Amino acid sequence: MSDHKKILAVVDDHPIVIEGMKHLLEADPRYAAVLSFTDAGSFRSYLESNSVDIVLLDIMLPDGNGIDLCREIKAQLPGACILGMSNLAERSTVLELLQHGASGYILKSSPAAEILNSIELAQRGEVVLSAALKGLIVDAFVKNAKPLPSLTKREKQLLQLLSEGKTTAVIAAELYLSRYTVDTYRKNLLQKFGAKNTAELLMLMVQEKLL
Amino acid sequence: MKHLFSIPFILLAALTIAKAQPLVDEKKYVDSLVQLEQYGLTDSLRARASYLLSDFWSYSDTAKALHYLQAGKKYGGENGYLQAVHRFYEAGYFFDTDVDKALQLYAKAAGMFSRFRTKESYVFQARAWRNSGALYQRKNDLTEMVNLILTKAIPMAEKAGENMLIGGYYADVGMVFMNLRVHAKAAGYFDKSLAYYKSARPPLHTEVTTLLFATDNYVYMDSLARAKPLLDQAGELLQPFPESEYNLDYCNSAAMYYRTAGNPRQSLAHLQRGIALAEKLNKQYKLNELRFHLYKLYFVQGQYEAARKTLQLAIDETPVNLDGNRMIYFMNMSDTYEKMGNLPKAYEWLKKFNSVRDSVYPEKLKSELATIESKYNVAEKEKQIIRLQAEKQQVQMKEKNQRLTNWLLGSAGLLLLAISLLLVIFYRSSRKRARQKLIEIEQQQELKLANAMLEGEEQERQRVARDLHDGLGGALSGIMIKLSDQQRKQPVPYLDEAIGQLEDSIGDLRRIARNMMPDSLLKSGLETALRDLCASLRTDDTHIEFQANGIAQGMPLAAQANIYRIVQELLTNAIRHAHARKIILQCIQNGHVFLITAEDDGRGFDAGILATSNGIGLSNIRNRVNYMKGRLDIESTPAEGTTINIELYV
Repeated sequence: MSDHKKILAVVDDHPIVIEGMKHLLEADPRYAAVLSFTDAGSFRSYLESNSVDIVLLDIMLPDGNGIDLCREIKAQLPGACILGMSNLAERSTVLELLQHGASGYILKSSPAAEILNSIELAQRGEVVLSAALKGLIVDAFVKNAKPLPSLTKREKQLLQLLSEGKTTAVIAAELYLSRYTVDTYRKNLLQKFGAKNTAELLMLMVQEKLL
Repeated sequence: MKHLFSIPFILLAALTIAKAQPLVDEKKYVDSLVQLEQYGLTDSLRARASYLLSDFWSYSDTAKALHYLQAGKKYGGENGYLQAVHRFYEAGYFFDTDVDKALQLYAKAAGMFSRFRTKESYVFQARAWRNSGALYQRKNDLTEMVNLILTKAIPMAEKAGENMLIGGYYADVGMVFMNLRVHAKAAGYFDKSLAYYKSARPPLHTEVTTLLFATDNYVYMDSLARAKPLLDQAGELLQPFPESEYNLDYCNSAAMYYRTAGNPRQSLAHLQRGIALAEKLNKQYKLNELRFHLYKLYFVQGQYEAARKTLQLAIDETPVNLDGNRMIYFMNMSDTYEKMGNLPKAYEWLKKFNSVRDSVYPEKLKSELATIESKYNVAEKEKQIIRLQAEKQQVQMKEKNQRLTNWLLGSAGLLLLAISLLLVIFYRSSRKRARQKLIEIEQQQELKLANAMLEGEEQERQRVARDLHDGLGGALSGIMIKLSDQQRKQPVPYLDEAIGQLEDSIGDLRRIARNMMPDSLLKSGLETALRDLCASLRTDDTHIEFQANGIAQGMPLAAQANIYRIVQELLTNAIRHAHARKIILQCIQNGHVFLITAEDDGRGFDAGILATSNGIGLSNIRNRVNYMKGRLDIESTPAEGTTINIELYV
């Protein structure tokens, strides 16, 4: 695989970025060709009759967004290695792109060496992320790090009053809230802890020593 | 003044006694008056005594009567009241001799007395009118007589409260009606009279006279059963005084009664006794009356000749001016002659009768009298009714007025109260309404303005963010790639630092652009944007726990942006100012209620400062909360942390 020269496509509407990337990659002997597209449409039409190995995909494009395009590419070329490359550093965007089959997400502000390195790593099947992005999505991969959500002070007050057997109306009066608001908090607590009713919720609270 | 009137009042009882010749103690009465006339303490007393003496003598000795009359005038002097008294007794002096003059003087006396509103004055007036009436009887003007007694004398006597006088006057009227043979009416007046006497204890002769008149009247009516007790009563009263002239009247009445009752012997006995006494006392008028009754008795018994003789005697000795009696005599004479078979004589007397009757009793007289009488009755009744009605009305009016006044006052008060209350309420509510409306308008204006400004701001932010990203961000990124590529190929030592700074700057730009307008808010909605926000702010030092529940996707972008900004501000405050290590952000939506809770374990602050200090962050939050008609609740303890609860309506 290493002797096979890859075709690399840069999809970015920014000419300076394209220029920079071409400059960076064309000199690299690992890549047979470095193609550039400034919008989603032109890349799609290219893909109709051609294939690529690596795609550097910007998220914000004049005629669509990179996330959707990523899914399309993956559907058409499952073996393609797609890296998000954007100035956007939103957790949701990064996660979404990864969910749609991207191999990584690098920030445009990354130094050239990091970019090259990331492409290389991605081709080997690793998920690559810019250092600045790792903190954003760390909890997404650390499942059940904390089994139960925290309780706010108000939730504690509410649970205390509920455990005293007080009705919504009484609690509302004591906390200077509307009954509707108290009810909203109570429903949220039930959902938050997956309890079917207040009694189960209170049981759970006692068990977990939250109350 | 009181002294002056109190003494005459004692004499008042004597006045009536003196007027019509007392039955008893005449001498004693005269002597006491003479004593009083000569040694009386005051001239007034002496004057009155003189007048009483004059009155007394006027029946028998006109010279003495005149003497005392003049003496009275002398004692009375200029006193207006005594002058009136003088007129009265002067009239009495002329009573028998000069009818017209007496009438004039009585009228004058009554006029003079009318100025004095005392009981005695009323009595004098009553007597003046009654005596005038008696004078009219002499003039055969019965109409005027009854008129004067009923309309003048009796009301005046009533005013004086003299029941005895009233009784006498009713008897006078009764007598007139009896003479006119209107016996039923006469009986009524006599009964009235006797009723008054019962309460007044009149002098003997007065009562006897009335009793006898009443007796005669009942006899004329053939009501013998009612006549008898009256006759007997009169007889009993006269028993102690067999020589009194009132025995003549009694004999008359008794004779008539017994004759009618079919007891001629008793009748004759009474007549004979009466005639003997009348002759002895020289009472011509009474004698003739008795003779007439004797005639009647003879006539009834069929002794026409004896009857004729007796009647002739009566006719011969009856004064011409007593037309009424003469007429009756003529009629009876005619009847007698008729019975005796002497028709020419009978016719002759009948003619005499007719001529007298035509002059004395015109047909209309009866009706006139009846009219006057009924007028009086009606007037009397009306007076009474009016008086009672007036009293009743007065009481009713008073009550009614009182009630009306109370009611009016009460209702007026209530009305005033209600009106003022209404006015106050109306004023207050209208002021409140106006104020509320003004506030509402202001609020709406503010909201509109804020809305427009916020929307404008968001749009502007969005535009700037995109420009930063696409323009500057892209360019810098391209430069960064080129530069770092060149450095990789031909490293320049100092350039490494510059490349690092450029990388940082691009990172700053990214953050600025993101803060301006998070791309995920537009792309993926509020919850995602908030989660991204939390992720972007999370550091090794600060852990942010984001809890979201029920956040709707279809919320207006302005509301989403607003909530986002609020949360952004909350988190920034907690990290930047409170240096919190742990932050819980809770966003719950339930229908239109959106609840935000931000809880940190940072430095906290004194809640008291909040009211005054308006940190840019908090005031921004407050403005945005107000914009969404929400509620902001901050609870902070220094060194323990801050809890901010926000309730929004979306």
